[in-house]
Amino acid sequence: MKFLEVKNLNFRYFQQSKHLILDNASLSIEQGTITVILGSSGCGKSTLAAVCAGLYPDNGGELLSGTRTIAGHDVDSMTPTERSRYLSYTFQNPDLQFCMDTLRKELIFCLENHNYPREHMENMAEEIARRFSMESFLDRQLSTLSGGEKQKAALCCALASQPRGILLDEPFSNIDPQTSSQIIDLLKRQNQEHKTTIIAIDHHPEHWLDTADEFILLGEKGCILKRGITKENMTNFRELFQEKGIVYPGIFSSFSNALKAGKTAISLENVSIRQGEKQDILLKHLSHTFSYGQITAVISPSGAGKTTLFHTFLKQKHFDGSIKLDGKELKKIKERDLFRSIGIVFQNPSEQFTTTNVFTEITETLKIWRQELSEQERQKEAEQLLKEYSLWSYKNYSPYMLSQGQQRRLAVLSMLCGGQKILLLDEPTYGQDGRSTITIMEQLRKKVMFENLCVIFSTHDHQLANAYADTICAIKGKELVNVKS
Amino acid sequence: MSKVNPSIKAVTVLICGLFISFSYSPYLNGYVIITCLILMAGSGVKWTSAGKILIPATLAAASLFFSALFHTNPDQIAASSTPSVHNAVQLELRIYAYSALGMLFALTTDSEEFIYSLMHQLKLPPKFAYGVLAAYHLLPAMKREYASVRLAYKIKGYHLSPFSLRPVFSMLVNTMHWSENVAMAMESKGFDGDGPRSYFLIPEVRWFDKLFFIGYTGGTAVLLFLFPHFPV
Amino acid sequence: MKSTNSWKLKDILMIAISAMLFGVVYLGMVYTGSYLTAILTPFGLGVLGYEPIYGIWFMAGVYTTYVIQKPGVGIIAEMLAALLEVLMGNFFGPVVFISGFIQGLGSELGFAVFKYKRFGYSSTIAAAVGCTVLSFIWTGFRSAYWTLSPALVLSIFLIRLISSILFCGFGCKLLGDALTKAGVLKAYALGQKSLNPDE
Repeated sequence: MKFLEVKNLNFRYFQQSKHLILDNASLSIEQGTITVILGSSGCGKSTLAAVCAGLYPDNGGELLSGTRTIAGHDVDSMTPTERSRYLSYTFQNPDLQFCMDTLRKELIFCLENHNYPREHMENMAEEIARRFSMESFLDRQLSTLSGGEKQKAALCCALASQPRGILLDEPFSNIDPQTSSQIIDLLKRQNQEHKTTIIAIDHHPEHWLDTADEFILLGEKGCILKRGITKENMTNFRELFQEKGIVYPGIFSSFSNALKAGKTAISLENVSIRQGEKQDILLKHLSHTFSYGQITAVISPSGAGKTTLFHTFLKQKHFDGSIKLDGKELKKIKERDLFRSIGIVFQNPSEQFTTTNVFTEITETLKIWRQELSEQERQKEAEQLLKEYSLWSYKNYSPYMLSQGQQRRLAVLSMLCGGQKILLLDEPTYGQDGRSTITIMEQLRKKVMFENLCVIFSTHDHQLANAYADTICAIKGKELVNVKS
Repeated sequence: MSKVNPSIKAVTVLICGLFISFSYSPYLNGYVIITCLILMAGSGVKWTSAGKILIPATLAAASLFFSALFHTNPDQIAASSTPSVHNAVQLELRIYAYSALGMLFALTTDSEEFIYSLMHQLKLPPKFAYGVLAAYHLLPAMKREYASVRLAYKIKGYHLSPFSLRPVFSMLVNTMHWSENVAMAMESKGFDGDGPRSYFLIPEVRWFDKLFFIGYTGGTAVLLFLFPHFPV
Repeated sequence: MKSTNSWKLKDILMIAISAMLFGVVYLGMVYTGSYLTAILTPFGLGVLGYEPIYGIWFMAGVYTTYVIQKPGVGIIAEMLAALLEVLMGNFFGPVVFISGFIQGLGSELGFAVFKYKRFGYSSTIAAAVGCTVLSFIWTGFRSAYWTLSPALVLSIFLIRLISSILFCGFGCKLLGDALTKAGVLKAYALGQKSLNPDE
């Protein structure tokens, strides 16, 4: 029996816009299966999912034509409450999926939406949490949970309506591999015990190799390029995957010769980092050196403190012990001098833009750090840099309208154009496909080679670390250990 | 006091606040301040948190006191012998009375219970109630966002004055899509502002709620009529 | 807040989140205001301390009306802002609902002058003036301004007016326009007006 069937969807975000996000897209999914939808960034997969579930056009955009049925019912004729009994949803950004502050209240909110009898609510909420081993998190503040815990909490909520199917939009983009496989096991059990249909959107098919019944590759504008891909025949589609930036094992071509370490950029000696002045220790006994002329990867499970480590280098956290930057004690360096030599690219680069125009984003930064340049020289320099980072054709765009990959490149550029030599990258793969990741890492590698930069990036992707890092260290427990040097 | 229905409490506090605005009597203000303190003491309010609220209230009261002391309008209060002091005292007490009412409410009311009660007693539509709750619960995310935006400006070498709207702007850019995301998340969980829904917590109006309302507003009203003016 | 049907959850959330944001900005600024008040108090001018930042109070209403461009948004925004203030423990308590309503009404009046058809500096400034006048009457009533010297009362009004025009008349307009340029308001009336069809 068909669980989901949509035909000839034409969808656009804005009435005035000619550009269609979905152009004649169709999709059908069998009841009780586990299906993974793959596709490069911007191919319309998230939009397709939201249109299928009825979240669009109710919350934005315009559906020009097409039919949608879930379990034989017309999506348009159902209320949100009815829809969520057939198909519920989890979203990519775990911070924006809850309207209450604890999982217990959120689950009760879900049950209330379905007019669930009041006297059984508490028991039911606890039972759902138990199924995903989340009982101990029921009364914790959701905002204090790690990415993985939030995603599990979101799954609990998605199951509260006892839906026939769940749609997961990039559930693992911020989660380490161990937690991802844990969640997949839970989903598999749900599928086997309750025949729940599971549809997931992902860039990484390898998460799902042993679980998925089928992989579907989307081409452009939400249209299916290839379906019927399984674990067995996947090797036949390597080239196609590469072209679309899907992350399959071996997509990141390793560099055979690691770069030699140059001068020491940052050295840590018995460093302990605390959250606040008198609060708990987050990381302790760190002793390590990061060198120029190399790329270093910091591998850590989600929530283990990599961002903390980076913020410490930027003098934003309290620490004991000694951190030296270019041989100078970090505690004695003034902030302004510090940021002349070190820059950071956030996990979500859209949080770090300060203007509404790509070109001025660079010229303004040049104005601050390189006051010796004249207005004309700045413009010229900005043009050259934007061309080098293949962003010149977007010079009149707003940075916020670029794709995640382009945003990250722009952020890197704006961090390096003042002549900074140390660059920290927080989760450079977040929210983008393999192709964008490759572009940025290869570009950085060239920069490191020719301009002798020190690049440190954090990731939970071992494959990425092995391919692009010359040395790798990992956060284990509260300590930093060498993995490869 | 924390057992009193939040909507009833809010309406009571609001009406008494209006009474104070209409009156010019230190007795009424004094009565409100003292009864609020008694009610707070009776409901086991933490005095440290009351103190925290009292600091800005005292500042506001003091500022009005001195303003009235130095800048009282001579035409209005000619009858009194030391007009400006009286006026200053009266206005200062009034600020304290307002804050006593505010404190009584703030320290004995649970935010979420208040929203639920607004839905049940004052017919606030669920869409607004849960919309506000969702926004309220986004506060930690907002704080985090603000910290990263500030950090971004710092790292880029900007000097920001405390009055600069630039970080607010950057925050707005990043939070504008939140409303769409959260709305979709809520709907995907079956939230429909108009459909039938059950409620886990339904605040009720019981006899002592009514008694509190009638007793307190009545008492204040009587005092208002007995002493409408400053005693000369 | 009568007909629920015409209000989409998304718009309510947008209003509530903006109200929250401006509320937090205001709370941040209150420190500056308190500092100023403390300095001015011994001179009897303490009541002026918070006036320079008073305009931030009105921003939620003016900003959301400028973006959504519908009647009623201003009142809803200010009422939701007041509710959020109460949730965060404002020491004036539920009375701020009345303040919120009055300020929202002021903002509505300003936009109504242009029949909710023209949205530019003229309408945001009119809204800023509306907020100032109505809120002035209300706070004047609450703090018995008639017992204070006319010069002081006039300064209160003027400082508040300037603050309101700066933060709302210009600030909200500039914020809205800059956000449109950033491309994040496409789902709202303001953003759609300047949409490039070929994008």
